[in-house]
Amino acid sequence: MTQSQLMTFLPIIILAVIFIWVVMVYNGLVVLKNQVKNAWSQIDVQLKRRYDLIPNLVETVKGYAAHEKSALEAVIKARQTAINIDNVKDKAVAENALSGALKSLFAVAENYPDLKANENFLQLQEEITSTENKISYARQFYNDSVLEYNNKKEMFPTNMIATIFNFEHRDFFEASVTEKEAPQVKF
Amino acid sequence: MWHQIAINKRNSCILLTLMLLVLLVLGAAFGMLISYYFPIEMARSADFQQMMLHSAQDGIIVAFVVWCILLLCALTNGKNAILALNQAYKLPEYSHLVLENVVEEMSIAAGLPKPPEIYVIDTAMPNAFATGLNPKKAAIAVTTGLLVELDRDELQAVVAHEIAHIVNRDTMYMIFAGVMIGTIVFLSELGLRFMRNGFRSKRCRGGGKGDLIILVVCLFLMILAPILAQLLYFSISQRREYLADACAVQYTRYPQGLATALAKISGSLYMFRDADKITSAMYIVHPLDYEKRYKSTYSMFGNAFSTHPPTEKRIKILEKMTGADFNAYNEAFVKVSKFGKRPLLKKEFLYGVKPMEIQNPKEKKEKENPVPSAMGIAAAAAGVAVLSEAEKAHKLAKEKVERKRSAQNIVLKANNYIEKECSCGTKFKFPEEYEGQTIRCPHCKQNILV
Repeated sequence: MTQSQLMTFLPIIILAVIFIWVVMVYNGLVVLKNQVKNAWSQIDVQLKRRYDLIPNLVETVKGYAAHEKSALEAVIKARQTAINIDNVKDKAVAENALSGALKSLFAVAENYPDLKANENFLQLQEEITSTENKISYARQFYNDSVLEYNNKKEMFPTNMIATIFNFEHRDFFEASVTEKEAPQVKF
Repeated sequence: MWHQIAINKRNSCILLTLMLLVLLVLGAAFGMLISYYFPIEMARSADFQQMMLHSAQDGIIVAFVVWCILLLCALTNGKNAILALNQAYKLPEYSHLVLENVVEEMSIAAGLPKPPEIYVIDTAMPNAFATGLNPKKAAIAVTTGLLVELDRDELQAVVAHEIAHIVNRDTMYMIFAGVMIGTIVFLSELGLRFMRNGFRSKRCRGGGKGDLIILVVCLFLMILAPILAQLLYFSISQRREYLADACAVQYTRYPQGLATALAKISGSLYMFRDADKITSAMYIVHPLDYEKRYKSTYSMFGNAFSTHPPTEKRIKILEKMTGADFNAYNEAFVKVSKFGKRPLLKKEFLYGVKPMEIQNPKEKKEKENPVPSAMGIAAAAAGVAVLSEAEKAHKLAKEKVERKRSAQNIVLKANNYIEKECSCGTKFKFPEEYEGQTIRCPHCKQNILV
């Protein structure tokens, strides 16, 4: 290869290398982004499952402990608020409130031996507890994925590609300490 | 996480290529050996070196074909064969809710696309393994002994360890490597057998000194190849066990759970005789050798030929962990290692790992969903009452009986036992093939129509 040939091919080779690098980085980002997306949909599946279980639970408890209105209503209300929220940050707070309400409902149920012996109730309790575990693990995986994604996105030189192709920043799914106490606002 | 999977895949590829090389060399030796003892009349007249070269080529082709056939079998039916070999059967639906939930929870924590199928092995020895070509078609097998001995948190840790094997693609590697070793052992056995027969029938042709050298080299290769392949295999599998432990801790955020589970499993006096040698590498703790299982030899060769690192060391590492992330595992690993302070994971693994806290599952729940104080008192009085030692022991024993019963349920359900309830409240189960019309209730002694 002569000198002149080399001079004509060199830019092409350099461009090709850059192109391949961009494609690889871009694909890497897409893989991570999809992982975050999947993780979120997994949380969503479990949350929906819990929403579906709650009406059954409320009906069952009502049959035995109808006058425990405050606990029942707290659960219904927390569920309604949680369903209607779309963004990640507020949802985390609402879901925590729902978990708390369910927990107090189960605590109340301790006082009703008949209810505790009800097979339907026991099955629902196991299902909800297990769903709650699953939510907690799905959240753990989601947060790990988000961390990996955000890390990669912000690091040089990947951040250049991420800005060019407009990869969004994702939020963690967790209520920080201040947010947890937010409902008791004092003026 | 993707990073780690990619590195694992690369390592597997390098190792499998090396094994393939060993296989092809063995094939060449095999071909030469065969033609040495069974020379075709036409070839006899031809140039000796030429003939050897040709037969070496043929041998390589034979080795390749055998490998392809075995590989095809493994790809189409590998998982089922392994499960059948270990006498595992599928967990009947709804027969053990805790196990089903634990597997689902852990596959969510690991981000698997779908939870693996669950299989059960009937044996009192607590143990577990995972298999499958890819995460979508994976399976986990646990013994009934495991379900009896371990509590929920420990079971969760073991399942997390197995799921880590699936996520890290160790199960895939295991199948490919198994096929490779199988082919190598098969060919070398065949070659050695031919050789013995050859000597007996005295058909060996008188050759020069060169022939003898070839013969000796071939013999040497025949004996060496299987050992070499296994060494290659072992060189990586110990490291993978540690890595799976580290991942399991990351999923559960609770190293003590895995530590006590490992202690219980390796401390068990039961043996699992049906586990065969080939598949024993897949279990969480080696199922056959009681001595090897727990006591670490720490000698040069004692460990080089073992698929599993000494359980004692694995437990020590887990107990020394101060966090739940890879960094913490790495630090604990270096602390516990006697020889050589080489860390388990290279820096590339630990890029951007965030520190994770250890969370005891019982405390974690309290922390995440605090009971409102008014309701809390009742719950606290009911659940968290302080127990004396005797009461604690009694409670543990009671839990174990409960677990034994639910494990027994799986076996009965798998064998299609029919459940019946007596009017006195006693539930009992009887086999499907029972031919009588009535059964006597063991409690109230009245006869019940079947």
